[in-house]
Amino acid sequence: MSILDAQPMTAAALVALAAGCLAVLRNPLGALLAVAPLALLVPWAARGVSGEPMAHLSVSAASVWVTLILAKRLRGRARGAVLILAAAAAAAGIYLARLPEAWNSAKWFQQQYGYPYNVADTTYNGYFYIPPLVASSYLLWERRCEWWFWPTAVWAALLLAGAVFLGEARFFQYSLPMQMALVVPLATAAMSRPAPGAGGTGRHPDGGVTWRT
Amino acid sequence: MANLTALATAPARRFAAVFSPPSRTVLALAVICFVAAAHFVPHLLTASSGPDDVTWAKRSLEPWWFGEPRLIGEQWTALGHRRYYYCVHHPSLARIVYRWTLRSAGVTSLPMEEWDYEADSAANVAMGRVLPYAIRTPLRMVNFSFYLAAIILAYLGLNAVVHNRALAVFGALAVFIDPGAARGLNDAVTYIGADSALAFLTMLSWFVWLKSPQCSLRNAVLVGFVCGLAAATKVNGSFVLLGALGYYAAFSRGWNRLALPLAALAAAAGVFLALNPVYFGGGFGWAAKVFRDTIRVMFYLREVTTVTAWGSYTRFEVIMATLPHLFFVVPVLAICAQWRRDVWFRVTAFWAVPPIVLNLCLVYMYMSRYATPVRTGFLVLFMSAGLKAFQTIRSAHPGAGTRNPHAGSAGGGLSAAAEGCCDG
Repeated sequence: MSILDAQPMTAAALVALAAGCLAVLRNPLGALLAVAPLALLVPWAARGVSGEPMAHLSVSAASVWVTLILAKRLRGRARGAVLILAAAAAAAGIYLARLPEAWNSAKWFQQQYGYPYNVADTTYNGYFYIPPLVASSYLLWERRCEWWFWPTAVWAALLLAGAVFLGEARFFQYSLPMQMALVVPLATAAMSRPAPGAGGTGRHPDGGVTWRT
Repeated sequence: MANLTALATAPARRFAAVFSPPSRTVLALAVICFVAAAHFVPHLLTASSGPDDVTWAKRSLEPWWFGEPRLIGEQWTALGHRRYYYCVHHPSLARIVYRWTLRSAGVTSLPMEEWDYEADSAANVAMGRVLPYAIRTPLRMVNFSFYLAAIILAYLGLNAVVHNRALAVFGALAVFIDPGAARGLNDAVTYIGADSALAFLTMLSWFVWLKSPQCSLRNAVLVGFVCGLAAATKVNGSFVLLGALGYYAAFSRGWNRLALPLAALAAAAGVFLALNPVYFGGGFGWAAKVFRDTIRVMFYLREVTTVTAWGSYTRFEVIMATLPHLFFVVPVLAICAQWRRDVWFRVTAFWAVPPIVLNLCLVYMYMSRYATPVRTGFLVLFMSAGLKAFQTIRSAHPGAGTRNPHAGSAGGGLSAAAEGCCDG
């Protein structure tokens, strides 16, 4: 399978993420903005570092998130059915993606092209996501009482842990699962409004600045 | 008389206030020094010699004041040509510091030839074109000193923004200590060149600018002076100056919109020329030739590099490797937007954005030392906004136990000083 075959699956993953963001934000423009960086920067722009396993994993992970979000809004049998769907999507993803190959894009690139992908210094970019996570941690803290927060946080933490611990060559900036794990919770939190009483927030509901003296 | 004394000692008192209270400052600096030393020094002591090391050491030992006659044509001796090339290859500040270090260590000349970039690495090593351990180690420790000073300045700047020493220490270390960095020869700390000095001077420009945000002639000259030092270290250090010019043009009033940028530009040009005397002694035509050759050498090196396998990357790949945080754009904008009216944020944004954008436009290959100014600008901007928001939440929670003296006015001293301070 070439990168061209993987692209429809990658696109399907992004559509699923947009649907999940729409369910959370109830704002089509906000959902599009939240997913836009992934659409612009997904691995298809980078000489095909992303392969078939990564695309499978992305579709599966996006489906799991959407079903978890839906399950939070449903009751009774419908909720049970949606949770079963989430479990099925996760199982299919794990089977099809042949973990941990989904994260190990360097091996895939080597198999496809016969030489290692060497544009990035693998060690230098291995931890690039930590400072932005530190800087944006307050966004997550503010939204911790939102209905969508904990399913999203647990899902993202598992996806991130997989990328960190199972990815051998950490071309994280090209890894869609890693981008999903980082961008979906943070962008959703950034585009949503915190619940009243969730703690001091930087923004007034009308978008003004509350703390300037 | 008392007023005069108070006026005269005001800068000293303001400087001392940065380190007050001393006990916490000492503790914070000790943590920073320990973490930075543990992270960088073992690698600096064990790293091998890189291709550019001999070139930079030889360049540093040549007189930076360029004592050759100012000739437009090709009439120099080989030594004159080489000295001129050294002068236009990079501005002088890093050379001056390296020269002082080497001469203090008793090194006045190097017996080996320069690295032949057209031969392979093994052939160069076989020819003995390797900088000896006793020479490269002091130069790398100079780099470490610059970098450590940059981290300390980041800490002091973040503390001025968030008023919380623990968060400031954490933020400064998160910006500069990348667990994956400092393992190659092309990291800013390991590489013997101008990059660590540039990191220090760009952070110094941020700190000075942050502590003097008012649009006054004195501040414009001061910021221009420090930006001139950055420009005299590496050509892309001048991008910080562009941000300063834009800041004074945007936030001054009346004629100051023109006068203050010109004052900053004049201060920067003065310090740049003082540190690069090669520009003097031959009239305007000579100075124009030197400037033209400086730019030409930059593009020549770029062409030479990109025709080799080193440069076979697409623009997208280089940008994504240099600044892989691009897909954080939505949270970055959300976090930064709330502080857009605060002066500390305006200063930081004008300081950070021009180097980020212009470096990303010019960078042609991924190298961690090329990425350092881009990432530093991005992370300092993002980190200060994020930590400020975090600190404000913390202060807003009753019983959060904050000892922040500015908790009652969460905008902080810079915000309080900010209102109306840019009226000229």
